[in-house]
Amino acid sequence: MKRKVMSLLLVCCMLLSCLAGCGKQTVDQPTDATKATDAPKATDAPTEAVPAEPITITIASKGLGNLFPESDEANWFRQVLFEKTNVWVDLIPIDDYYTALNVQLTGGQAPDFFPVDYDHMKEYADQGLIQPINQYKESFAPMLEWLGEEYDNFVLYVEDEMYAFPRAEANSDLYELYFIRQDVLDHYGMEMPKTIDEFFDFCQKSVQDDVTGLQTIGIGAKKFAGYNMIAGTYGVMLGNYVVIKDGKVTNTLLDTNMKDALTAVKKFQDANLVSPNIWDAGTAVVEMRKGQTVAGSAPWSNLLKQAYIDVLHAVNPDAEWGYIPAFESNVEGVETVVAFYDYNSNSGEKFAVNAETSEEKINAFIKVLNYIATDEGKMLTWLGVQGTHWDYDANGNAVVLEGQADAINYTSNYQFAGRNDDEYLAVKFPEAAEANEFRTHYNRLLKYNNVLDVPADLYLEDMETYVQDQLIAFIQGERPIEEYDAFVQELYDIYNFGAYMDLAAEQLTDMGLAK
Amino acid sequence: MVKKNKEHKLGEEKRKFNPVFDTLVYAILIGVLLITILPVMYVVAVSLTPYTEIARNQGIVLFPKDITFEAYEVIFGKKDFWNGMKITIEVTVFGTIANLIVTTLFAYPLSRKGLPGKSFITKLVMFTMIFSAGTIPTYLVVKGTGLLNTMGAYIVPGLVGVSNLIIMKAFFENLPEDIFDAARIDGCGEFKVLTHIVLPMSVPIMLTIGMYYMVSHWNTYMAAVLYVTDQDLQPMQVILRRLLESSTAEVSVDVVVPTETMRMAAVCFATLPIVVVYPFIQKYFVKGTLAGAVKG
Amino acid sequence: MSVASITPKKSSWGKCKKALFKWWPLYLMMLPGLVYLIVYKYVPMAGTIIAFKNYRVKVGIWGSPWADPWYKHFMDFFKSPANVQIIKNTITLSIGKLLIGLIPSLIFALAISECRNKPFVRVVQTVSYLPHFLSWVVIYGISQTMLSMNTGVVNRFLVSIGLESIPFLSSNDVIQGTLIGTDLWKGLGWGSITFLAAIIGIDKELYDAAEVDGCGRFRRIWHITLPCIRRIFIVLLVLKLGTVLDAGFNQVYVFMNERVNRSAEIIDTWVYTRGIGKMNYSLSTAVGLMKSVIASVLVIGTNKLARKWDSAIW
Repeated sequence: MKRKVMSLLLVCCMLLSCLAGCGKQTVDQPTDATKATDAPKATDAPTEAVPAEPITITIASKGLGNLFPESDEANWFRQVLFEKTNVWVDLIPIDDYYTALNVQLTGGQAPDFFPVDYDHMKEYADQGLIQPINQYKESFAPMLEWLGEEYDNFVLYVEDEMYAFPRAEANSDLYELYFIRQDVLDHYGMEMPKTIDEFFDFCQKSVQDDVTGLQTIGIGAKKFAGYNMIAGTYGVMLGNYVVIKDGKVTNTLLDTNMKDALTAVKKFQDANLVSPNIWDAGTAVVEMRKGQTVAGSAPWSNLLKQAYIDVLHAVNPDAEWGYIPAFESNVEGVETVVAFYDYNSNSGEKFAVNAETSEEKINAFIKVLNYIATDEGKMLTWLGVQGTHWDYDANGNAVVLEGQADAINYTSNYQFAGRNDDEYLAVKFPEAAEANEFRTHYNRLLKYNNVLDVPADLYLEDMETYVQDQLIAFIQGERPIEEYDAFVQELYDIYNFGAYMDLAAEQLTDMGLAK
Repeated sequence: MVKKNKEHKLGEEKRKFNPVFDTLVYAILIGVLLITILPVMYVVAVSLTPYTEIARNQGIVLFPKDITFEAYEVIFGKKDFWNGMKITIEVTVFGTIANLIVTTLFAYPLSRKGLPGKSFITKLVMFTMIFSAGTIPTYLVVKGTGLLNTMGAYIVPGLVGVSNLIIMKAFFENLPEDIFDAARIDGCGEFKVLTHIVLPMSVPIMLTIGMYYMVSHWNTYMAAVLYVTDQDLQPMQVILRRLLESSTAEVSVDVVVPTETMRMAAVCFATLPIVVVYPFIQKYFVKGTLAGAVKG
Repeated sequence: MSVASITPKKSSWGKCKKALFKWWPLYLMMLPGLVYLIVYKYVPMAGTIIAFKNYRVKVGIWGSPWADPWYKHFMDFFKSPANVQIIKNTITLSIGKLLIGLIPSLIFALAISECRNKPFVRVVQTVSYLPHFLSWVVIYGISQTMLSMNTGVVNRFLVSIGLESIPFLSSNDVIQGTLIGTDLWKGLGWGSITFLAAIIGIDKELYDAAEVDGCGRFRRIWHITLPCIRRIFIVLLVLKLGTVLDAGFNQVYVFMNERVNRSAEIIDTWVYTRGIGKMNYSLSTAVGLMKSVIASVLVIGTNKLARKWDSAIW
């Protein structure tokens, strides 16, 4: 009996130890790995420049993608930044950003600093997950001075408490540009279209002749942007956009020109001039890149980088993108709008501070901010180290040295203070200089949606889904445009649209933007 | 057993050739073959074709004219891909072993006749299949047990798959009762019965269940996103997803979207190892599932 | 939920002790699994209480105030103007996947078992499992090239034989079919394994007897194979009913866009964007709880029904 018990215990122990072994081995590994990577860091550090104890701060990075260097050792930027500031900045890429960040915050596992948009900032501040930084304002004054005082504005505040560091964010809405195939225009001996009617003729002709030989598509774009090219000539954009017109708060959906705009859009749709794949943004952009489309609306960055132009030319060596100036307005007294931008055009994500982060770490981060807000630091986050990655050419322009482009493609992740986008793009993407100049001349629709609060019983996402769905139905002819007024009434009746607009009017009036 | 069955049939059915029937059978099989293999072949073909050729042909390539391994060279040159692969393989191997041990130890007692509380525990198990706790409560428990940022986070929260447990239990229940009686007469304890008698008879079911577990470990994604922030511990699927998604969501102007060729090469790289394992297990696979199926 | 519930409650302590003494090695074996189940499955279930609270991260599950009224987060879902459509989509999709998914798998399994060219069968089988190993993101990538308008391979084929092209990925009328179809593509081979196993398990003598009676091969399938695997078919059906409100989040999430939201949005995607993404955990937990309750009722109900045909799972 005793032997039996013993043998049983033995088997049991073996199984348990096997289990424990599996667990242990796997659990121990990460600590070994981090040790291994930590050790050289400490020794590599130049000792003479750093009297104080180095500090490590962690910063979340949204959508780093596959850009990031493979290891801390390969990350020259981290090293250089440490030498300058005595702070190790560890970027933590977070996939599925807000889902994962929310969960990490819930578990107290979030990085020390993380970028947040205005809505999430309000939510986190309300839950006490981020801490106010008013008291540090003095410390980051140099950075703010470099940025410009206008960046210290309401989007950083929740009830007079400052919750995020100012940042000059690039607004990709402003990248939107109207493209046309210059070579096709030349082929037909046509002038640049000035009205949407001329544009219609151009597209129709190209499609009918299959001028590209690739089953030509007229207009390519992502989502509504293609339709907005036409709707813009009526001074509206398709969607729920809160705007201020003649000092009054209103909504593009309520615009009297909306029906005409939809009718005009429908004409293009009925003639099959718009890519049927615009809703599947990936496919639509690829169509443009390979030159299947003859015109369209897209951020310049989707088409004009050297790599994309190479593809275009590989398919058709003569292909060349031209840019369309805004079309003539179809409504008297209303200026044509091209795409839209947010009221606070600097509407991207700002860095907020985890409630758990120590004062020491905040000061370290401010030190980094102040450093990258110097000319030297700025160039480091733009192009890397002078002499290694870039240098001035004979004319005094900064130029990336040959073969270094890949080494500096991740530095933008360290632009915690943001950047002057126009300057930056001119330096980093000389191939798109012309386009970048061109797009600044458009008159864009100013919308206020992102600063508005949502009434408690309003289902904003549901409403926007419905609006998009119905607008598409009008364009596709699934619902007659005569029913547009009925559609707006549905918004009031079912989706509480009235309360939404009332609150918007109240808020924007309070902000002194509307009467 | 399976083999014999079929061979036997083969002999006698030769006489009964039914043209309509056989045509139908072949039509179905060839149909399935084409429907599944063409898209997969397409992925492989794209990964081997220079991107400009794809653009020129509007994306249709089945047999590439110029084969290029450029995309694979880029992928092979990426350390994060290799590291992700290493993590995924480790999770798959250790995870599957742990899964099998715990599942077997759990299923065997539940299959024994007369164990008091057996049906109650079975119901307890079944209940978790339909009634699941939400993301946040589960996360808090994973955190509370100290698994965040460890390999354990990939393995422990999914230690026992309920449906796998039930299949295995059914298999054990179907083993002939007399071998247990014989073992007991020989004075074997339950552990010895399990290790010396039951396990040697259970190779097919172990491989089958093992394969189920392996596939789920191989595709680990959400656990990594939620539980692991350490970049050295990110599995293949996360690395792959980053590459694939950077082409749809423009995250920053500095990103140059990877070409179709690159993306498909990454897909092949990430999928090939698990696909290669499968044919070795296939022989046992149907047998293993059979065991579970008979009893349900 | 406590550890005490492992041992049967209804028996008296003395009986318990006796059972424990006799069966302890078996209980010991179960221990790791049971501990796992309790820690990682049952303890988190206690956390679903946040469905009735206004969960605030800082104060934790227990400190958070009760929702007012207690069913507030359930109402949040039911008051949404979109909910009827969402529920309809969810059920259509999952029933579609259930029925359209099981039957082709069954037919495929029958074809495999009836085909006598074994090397060929092995190739077909191996190939048919391939899609199972691909994730939805990858499958969406493939679908883009296969199914998109103009350039999609399938549409070009349709046009070349003189048919209209079909907007598989961008039409409210078609998207549900596309979702069901791609799901079928992914699961066809894998799903057939269970049926195949059941078919092989059929007593061979039944076939021999049928042969003697002069049954053709069609009739043999009809009279022997199908009745024999009826049980497994029903078991699978019952099990899948438990997930009838899931409808495949991972798939739908990658296939969704503005054009097809109306027909594609399901409960899980709706909750994902409004719950976890916005830190509204109470809402997502409430909807999850509701789904679990409905699923439990469905599974227990259908199991009762299945018992009538002797196909109960337990």
